[in-house]
Amino acid sequence: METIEFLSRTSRRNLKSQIGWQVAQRMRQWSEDLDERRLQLYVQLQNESLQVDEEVAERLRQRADEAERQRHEWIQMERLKREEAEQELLKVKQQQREIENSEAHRHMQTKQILWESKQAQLQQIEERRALKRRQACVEILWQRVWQRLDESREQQQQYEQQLRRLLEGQCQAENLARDQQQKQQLQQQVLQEQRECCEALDVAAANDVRRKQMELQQHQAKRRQQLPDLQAQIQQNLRLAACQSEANQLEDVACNMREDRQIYEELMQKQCERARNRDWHQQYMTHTAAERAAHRQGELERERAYLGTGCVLGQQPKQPYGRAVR
Amino acid sequence: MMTGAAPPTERRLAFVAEWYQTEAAIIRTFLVTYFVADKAVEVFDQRSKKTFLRRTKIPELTQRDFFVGSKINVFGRQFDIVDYADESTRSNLAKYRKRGFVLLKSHMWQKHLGKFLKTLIQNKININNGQMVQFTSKMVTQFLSGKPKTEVVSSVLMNELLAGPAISLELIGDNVVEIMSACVKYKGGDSGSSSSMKLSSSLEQLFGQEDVCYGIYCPDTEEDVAIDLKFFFEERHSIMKECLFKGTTLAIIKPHSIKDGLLGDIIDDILSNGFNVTAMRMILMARINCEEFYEVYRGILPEYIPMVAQLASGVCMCLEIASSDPGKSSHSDFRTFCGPMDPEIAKLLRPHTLRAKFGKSKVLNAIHCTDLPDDTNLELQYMFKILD
Repeated sequence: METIEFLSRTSRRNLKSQIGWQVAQRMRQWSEDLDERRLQLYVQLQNESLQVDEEVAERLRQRADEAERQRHEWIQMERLKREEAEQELLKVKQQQREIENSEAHRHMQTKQILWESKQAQLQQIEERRALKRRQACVEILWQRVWQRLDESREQQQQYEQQLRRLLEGQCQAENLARDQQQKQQLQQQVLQEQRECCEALDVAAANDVRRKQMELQQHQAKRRQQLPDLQAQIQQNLRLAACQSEANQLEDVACNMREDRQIYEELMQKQCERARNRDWHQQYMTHTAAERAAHRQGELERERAYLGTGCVLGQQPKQPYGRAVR
Repeated sequence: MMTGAAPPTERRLAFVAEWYQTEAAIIRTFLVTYFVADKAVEVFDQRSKKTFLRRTKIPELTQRDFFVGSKINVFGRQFDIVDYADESTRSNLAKYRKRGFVLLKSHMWQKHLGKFLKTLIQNKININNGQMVQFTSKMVTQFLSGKPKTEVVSSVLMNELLAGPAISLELIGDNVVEIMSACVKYKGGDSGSSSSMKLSSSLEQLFGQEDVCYGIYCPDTEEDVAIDLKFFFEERHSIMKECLFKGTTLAIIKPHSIKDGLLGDIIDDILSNGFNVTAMRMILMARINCEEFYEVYRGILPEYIPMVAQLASGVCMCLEIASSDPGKSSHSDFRTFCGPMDPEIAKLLRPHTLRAKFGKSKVLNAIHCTDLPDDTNLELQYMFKILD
């Protein structure tokens, strides 16, 4: 059983490896084939690119050649045209020279010039005559114009005079009536104005009297009003003065009391200090007396202790003796 | 996906989105909020109740990229928008972002595909998804079952669908179902048309041609649209046309061209310059897939990282291209037709190439085409078989 299993596994493994190998071989083959195709394509595209470049270069060269050829042709044509023009010019000049050189031509030319000058003179004379004629015509025309203008002015004046006379005759009566009416109206207006003026003056006088009376009344009322006002003011001033003096007195009293208290406090303070100082002094005196007594007691005891031992307990310092001290 | 006249701008749009986490093999639900004013996106994880991505500006995302059913790419993660997150977003967008479906029959698209797409884009109808399909009789029967058509119409349609590869397109636009129905019923300016929808002059001009009008099929109601979209784009059956893988090359119309509305122009140019489209699909690639796809350019081109970012920034159109002349090499011819990688050089040297006409810069060069002749099969297989 194990052998069979081993064999089947082995064969399966062999098959797998065989398949794997075949796949790898195919892949290798495919990649080689692809590389081969790529190489072919590269070569082909390269060749085509070169061919295209050559064609482009050829085309550009052709264009350049064509342009050059056209330029040459144009230059050639221009030269030919210029040469032809020069030839023509030379021919014409030659002909002119030949004509000028001939005697007959010169004689004919002189005649021609003479005839032309005569013609010009005749034309000038004709022109002068025509100008004079034109001026005469213009003068006649102006005379006619002025004449017509004078006539029309006279007619206008006559017509105006007639019209004026007619109008004066018609309007005389109307003017008189209108004048009379205007005078009456003016008189009435003057009377009316005088009346109005008188009335206005009366009214103004009455108003003036009334105003003066009112002013007098107002003045009296003001005077009457001022008296009680002044009295009230005096009363108020007195009251204020009394209040002020009272306040001043109170303030003085308060001030005196403050000062007294201050003096009293200062005296008390000094007294307290003095008492304190006295106590301290007393204590100090008793303390020093006790100290001194204790010191003396101690010295006595020491002396008593060392008595008869021959010890020098208290040695007085040597008094210096010499000229300098003396 | 193309930018068009957006509806009246709202302050923010909120959607419920799903993201398939490959490591854990689970589908996680998120709340994606798009701020219209500054083109910013915020992602909130509904399971962990945490902010997954705080408010971040993503200029390549526009308001027209957000609708139920769209796939948006946020920093390499593909989010599928499954529902509106609030009533205001629903009421604002539901009336603008309607889904439509159209099936182009083989005789029609081979002549008019570019013009058809161009006209739709001009009329603010965006192409959200598309693929070339090859019907079998069983699939045609399955497709036509439940459609209220007469015997004659069904048999004619069956024959037309079996005649050659068709192209199915998912459309997004304002009242797209009504517009497409009106277009089909227009039939060259019939005055007796029962539709009350007023068509634009460009649509009238396009659908005035008989072979265009009879060369497309589109459902009349939104329910039929949903059924057809489910049949063509969601159910996992092998309806998508297989690649030829022989004498063909791959072309990818980049997301920036699709967003700028150049899809129709580019396809029109391709078809009118002696090339045929033998397979086609629209796809939104995850960043990891873009890196894998562009692996050969790593270390070769300095623009590798921005190239990857550009390819992952939105849906791209993958085309299998074959030359009309069997004697010629599709790869070299189409590569020459695309022109140099840098549009500036292309404009100077080859002004009639695709990149010269539609490219902006070395990264935004409108179209990707296979560079190595030996890589055509590899790239076609990656796009049409491996990415499913």
